[in-house]
Parts: sequence; structure tokens; C-alpha cells
Amino acid sequence: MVILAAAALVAVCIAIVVYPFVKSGSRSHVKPVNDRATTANSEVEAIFDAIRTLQLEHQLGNIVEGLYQEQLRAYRVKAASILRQQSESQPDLGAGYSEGVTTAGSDGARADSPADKCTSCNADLPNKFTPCSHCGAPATAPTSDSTEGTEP
Amino acid sequence: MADLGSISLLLALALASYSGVGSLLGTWRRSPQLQESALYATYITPLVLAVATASLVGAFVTKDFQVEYVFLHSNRAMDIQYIWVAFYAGNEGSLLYISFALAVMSALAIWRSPANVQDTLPFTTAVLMFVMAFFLAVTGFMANPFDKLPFVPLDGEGINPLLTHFGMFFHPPALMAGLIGLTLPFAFSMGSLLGGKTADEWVDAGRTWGIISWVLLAGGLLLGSWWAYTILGWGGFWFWDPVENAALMPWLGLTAFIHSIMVQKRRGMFRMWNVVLINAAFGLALYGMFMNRGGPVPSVHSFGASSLGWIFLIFLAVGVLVPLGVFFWRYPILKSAQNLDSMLSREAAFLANNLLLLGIAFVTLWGTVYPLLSRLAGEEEITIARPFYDQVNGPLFLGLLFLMGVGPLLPWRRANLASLRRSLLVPGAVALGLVLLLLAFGIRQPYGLLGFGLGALVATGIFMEWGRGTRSRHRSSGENYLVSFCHLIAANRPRYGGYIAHLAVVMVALGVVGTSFFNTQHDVVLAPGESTVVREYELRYLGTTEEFKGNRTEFRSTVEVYRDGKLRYTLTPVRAFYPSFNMAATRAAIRSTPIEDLYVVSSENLPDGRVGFRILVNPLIWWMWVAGPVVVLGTVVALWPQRSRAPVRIPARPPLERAPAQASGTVPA
Repeated sequence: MVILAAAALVAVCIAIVVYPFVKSGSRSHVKPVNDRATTANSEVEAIFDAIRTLQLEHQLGNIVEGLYQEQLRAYRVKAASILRQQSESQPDLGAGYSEGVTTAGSDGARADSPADKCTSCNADLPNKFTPCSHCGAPATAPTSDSTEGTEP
Repeated sequence: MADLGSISLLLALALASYSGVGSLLGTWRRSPQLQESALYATYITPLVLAVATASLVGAFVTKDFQVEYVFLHSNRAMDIQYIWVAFYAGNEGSLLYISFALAVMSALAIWRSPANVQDTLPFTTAVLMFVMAFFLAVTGFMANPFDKLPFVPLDGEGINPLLTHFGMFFHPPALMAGLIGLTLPFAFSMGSLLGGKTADEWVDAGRTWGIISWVLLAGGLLLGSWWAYTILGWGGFWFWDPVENAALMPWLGLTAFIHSIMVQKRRGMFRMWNVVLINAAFGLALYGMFMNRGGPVPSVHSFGASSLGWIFLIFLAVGVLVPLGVFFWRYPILKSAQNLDSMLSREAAFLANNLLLLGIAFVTLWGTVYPLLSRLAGEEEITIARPFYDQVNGPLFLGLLFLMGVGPLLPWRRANLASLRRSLLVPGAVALGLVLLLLAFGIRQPYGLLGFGLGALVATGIFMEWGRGTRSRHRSSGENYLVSFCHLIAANRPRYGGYIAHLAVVMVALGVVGTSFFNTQHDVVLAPGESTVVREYELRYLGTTEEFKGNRTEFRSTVEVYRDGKLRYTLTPVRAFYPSFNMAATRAAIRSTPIEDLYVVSSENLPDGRVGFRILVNPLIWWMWVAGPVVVLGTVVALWPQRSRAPVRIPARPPLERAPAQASGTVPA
């Protein structure tokens, strides 16, 4: 009985291990290297996480106004630079996006008005959901999100 | 049953070895079939080890004493619930448990690995599987729990009486899982280096599994302290025993790592630091296993004399030297993305945190190895006792407590001194007020005052931030305060989970300071009817009953406790003698409240009917034990997945086309 059970166990293990060699169309263990868009998305997401944490620190009084604005500006410029590089590396998207960074839950409705303006530098935006490619100010978001951050 | 277990062990070893080699070969030869096959081998290894585990448990349940391990660690009189404890009570069973735990965690980690580590996952898998193969090889060929005796004994020797305690159901499994779990963040780090990755892809996976190992180790250490407090009968909870130190040191390294990794995640800094920290923590975990199984230093915690010392010493050497070699090989590419902007910043606080924690770990390591070194030098063995650790590590721990209070108030990159002073005003005032109050009550112990003051600083800072954040959210959203508070935590889980864990550390500090500096100990011999006074308690010894219980003789002493002349309660310390082990074990009688513990243990039953008692009053130790569930809660909150907040939507069509209003897909991360 024990020998039968052991033999069955060994047989099952061998079958599972050998299976990829006998079936057709094995997927690679190594997924394709992240494309540039995905890498850029991750970088932008990291920057906006950092901005949210900065806003939380500011609301909690841990950082003074001057330093807060300085760091916020630096993050926005960096985000704008990444988005600009992304749009340059993907010329088929044209000069801008019809949608860009937005909070989860927003749908893909087109812009209410073609003449949306950046609240920070007053540059023209394709729509109100797109971050500003001039100063990097994030997309319009509900104020309740400003108390959200990701890490201590 | 035992034969099935043996075969399963060897099969698991074969699978782990195949998986490790196959992952590397499959990557090198660019063979997707081999890579997938190696992956499947990783996933079925825990299932095969589950069969081995079930075989050993089955041997205990069926009382198959021909299996030597079952014979040595159980008998017919053993209650069935202790089979779980007996499973890992000895070297062989604990090695099987460690292998099983590593197999399960490895399979989970690889299955749930984030997309951005897929490039280096074969290297990570190889590291995990080679470590597992080591443990399985040792278990299979040198310490096999399924070895049989040449005869069938009628009964076993029984389980060590010290292990028949509730804490033993959790302390060893948590500690061993935490120590071996360190392999996971180590493997992700090594995988990243071996794969030549210069960025921070491994940080998320490293942080997650680092925190999981950390909380398992923290829980294991607290439970072990609780076990020592209740069963060893000396009234303390930490002896700076070499094996205790061997579990504390990797925990210190991990604590530094899980904080320092946040800097790498946020700012791309401390890359070298984090590699060094996780390598050091892993090396210290291997050192702990060597101490526990090699038996170079006797300890109540170790598995006793063992022939496995040399193999664990070799593995320790490999586990330290190979990562060191890889670190120096990849050193040029580990440059930080940014520099420290200011010494008054959260990054600088984390740097100071790293230095303090490593300092404590080094002091502990030095005190632990010094007796070995003195013995090797041919001199008389010099033991390092508790006062050394207390005097050197005590101030360092107080420094850490200070950082815990100040660090969270510092913003990233640069802080303004004025805003920091403003943030520290109330916590500092509360701390100072508490110290003055304690001085007014006649408390003069400087370290005790400092400890209480710093604890108040940390706790006040945390509660103040919670209050400010809740108020801010209440104002902006209109939610009531309770809902605002819950949403605040939910929206900032890593941050506030960390604060809950910090509160748990303050609770532990409270217990340590209270017990270390303000306890009272009184040793007395009493005849029936006699009393003694300890602080405000009067204890009257009534008598002792003797009861034979199968494998032991129990001596139950009854002690009445009076306060202000009134009988408050009765305590029953127990002392049991186990003839088969020729040893006595005690169960202290403890009356525990948040203010203090009254601890009574009987040390000796004299022929004339008198009994020796040790009576202690331990202030605030209750907070130490309650800190355990709090630290687990904080960790769960910190690790709870947070939904992605800013998915980038790439449009399906060029922007000049007016697409109808419909949700477009998100780009997968």
C-alpha cells in the first residue's frame, strides 16, 4: 500500500514536471521586458504617490508652505518630463492625450470643453483629466483624495 | 507511513534541485519549456512535503514507536494536542517543518510575484530552491525523522515537559518560519543583483516578504519571552541567552531593512544599504540555526549536542561569502539615484535608525560569540552576562525610541527646524510633564524616567497625527469622526499600519522599563500557616497537595493573597517532577493586571513540609504581552493591498478623433 502510494506520488510529480515538454505552445517563464509605456506609467504613478504623501504631510503640518511648494513643483516638473518623453516615444498618439492620468473610477468621457486650462500655469490642456505637460500639475481630482498617501 | 515520508523527502529534494537548476538553465538556454517545468516543480514541492509532514504526524497519531523520532518525543500518556509540538520538538522534525514552511512561502512568493520582477525571477527561484535543497539534504541524509529502530518499543520516552505549554504551540513555528522566511527578501535581492538589475523592481516584493518574516520573528520572540516568564520559574522573560540572541539579531537586521527599503522605494536611495542589511539579516539567521543545532553553546533553547554543527557552519560560510561576492561584483551598479538632501529629513532619520539597529545587533553578536572565541583561544571560557547587554544596548534602545518619536514627524527630503519644533511641542510637553509627575511621586531611576518619557513622546506624536488627519478628512469630506478615522487609515495603510506597530513597540518598552527598573523580588521559605509581606501584598501559605498524574508528580501549593487586610484571591503555583526526564518543571501562579503582575512560584518542597517561594511584583509587564496582537494588527494593516490610484489610460485611437464616451482600458502594470 505504501509502495503504491509512493509510486503514484512519484508518477504524478514526473507527469507534472514533464508536461511542459509534451504540450504545445508553452508560455515563457520570463515575461517580456516591461515596455517603455509600462515603465513610464510606473514612474508617474510613483511620483503621484509621492505628491499625495507630500500633501498629507502638508495638511498634518509637518512641512512648511515654502518647502511644500518647492517640492511639489519639483515633482510636477518630473512628471511632466516623463509624460513628454512618453508622448515623444509614441508619436502615433499625436501632440497630447485624449485621456491621461486619472483617479480610479473615472470613466473615459470626453472633455466637456476643448479649452480646459491648467490650474497652476494656465496652459491649454486637451481636457481636464490630463496632467499639464508644461508644469506637471496633476489632473483634476476630488479634494478628499488629498488626505491619501501610501507610506509613512 | 514512515517509508512514504522518507520517499516524499527525497522526492522533494529532487524537485527542489531540479527547479533551481532548471530555472537557471532555462533562462540561459532560453527554453520556455524548461522554465515552465522548473516553475511547476516549485509549485508541487510544498505538496510533496505536505505528504511527508502528514506521514510524520500520522506516525505520532498511530504511536508508531518503531520510528525513532516518535519514540524520543512522545509516549502513550501524551495528550493528543501535543502531537503538534512533538512534531517540531527535535532537530529532525524541526528541519522538516522549516523545509515545509520555506516551500510554501516560496511557492506563494513566486506565484504572486509582481510583474516587474519577472526578468529576474529565475534567479530568485534558484536561490530559494538551493536553500531548500540544503535543508532537505540535511533532513534526508543526516537528520531523518523517519529513521527506524531495529525493534518496536512498547512505549516512548515522552515529550519534554518544558514544551507542554500553550506558548509552545506557536513560539517555535513562528520563530522558525520567521528565520527561514528571511530567505525570501534575500532571494529577491540576490535575484535582482544576479539578473543585473540596477533599479528598484525588487523593492515591493522584498518589502512584503521582509515584513511577513519580521512579524513572524517578532511574534515568536514575544511568545518565547512569555513562555520563559511563565514556565522557567525565575520571574524574568529575557536572559540574553545565546540562542535568544541568535533570534534577536536577524530581527534587528530585518527591522532596519523594512524601514530602509522605504527610502529606496520612495527615492531610489540606500540601494547598497538594503542589500547589505538583508544579506546581514540572512547571515545572522543562518548563524542562529548554527547556534541552535550545532550546539557550540549550551542553552535551554537549543536542540542539544548535535553532529550537524559542521554542516551548518559550512552553509553559514557559503551564505555569507557568496552574497558578499555578488555584492562586490555588482557594486558599481548599485549607486543611489539621489543624494541625501538634508540631515534633517526622514531619510536621515532612517539612516540613523539603520546605524542604531546594526549597533545593537553588533553588540549582541559580540557578547554571544565572545565565550566561543575565548574557548577557542585556549583560555578559560569567559561568559558575558546580562549586565553587559543591559548597559550597552539599553541606551541604544532608548535612542531608537527617540527616533521613533521624531522620525515620523520629519518630511521627506528636507524639514524646516521651525516646523519640527512646532510638531514636537505637544509630544515633548507631554513627555516632560510625565517625567515631572513621576519625579513628584519619588521615582528617581534615570533610565526608567527616560524610557517612560520617550514612550510618551512617541505615543503622543502618533495620536496627534491621527487626530489631525481625522480632523482634516472630517472637514473636507463631511464624514463623522469615526468614519473619517477609518477611511484615513484605509487610505494610508502602510503609514498607519506602521504607526500601530510603533505603538506595540512602545507597549513592549513600557513592560521592559517597568519590570527592569521597578520590580520587587522576594525569596522566602514558608511553613503552612506562615505569611510574608511583599509591597502592599500579604501572602499566606496554606499547604501543598501531592498528586500523581501518569507521567509526573504534581505539588500544588495554595497561597492566599491579602491586601489592606482583606482576602483578594488565591494563587496556586505548581511544581511537577517528571521521573522519566529526571527533571522538575514549574508553573508560576500569576495575577496579571495592566498595573502590575503578582508572580508566585514554588522553588523547592522541603521534607519538613516547608516550601521555598519566589515572589515578584512586576510592574507593567502585562503591556508586553498585549503588544503581540497589536503588532500583528499593525502588520496586517500595513500589508493589506491598496488599490491602484492612478492607472494611466492610453487611448485606443489617436486623440484628434472624437471617440464616443466609453471607458478605455488601462495599461497593465
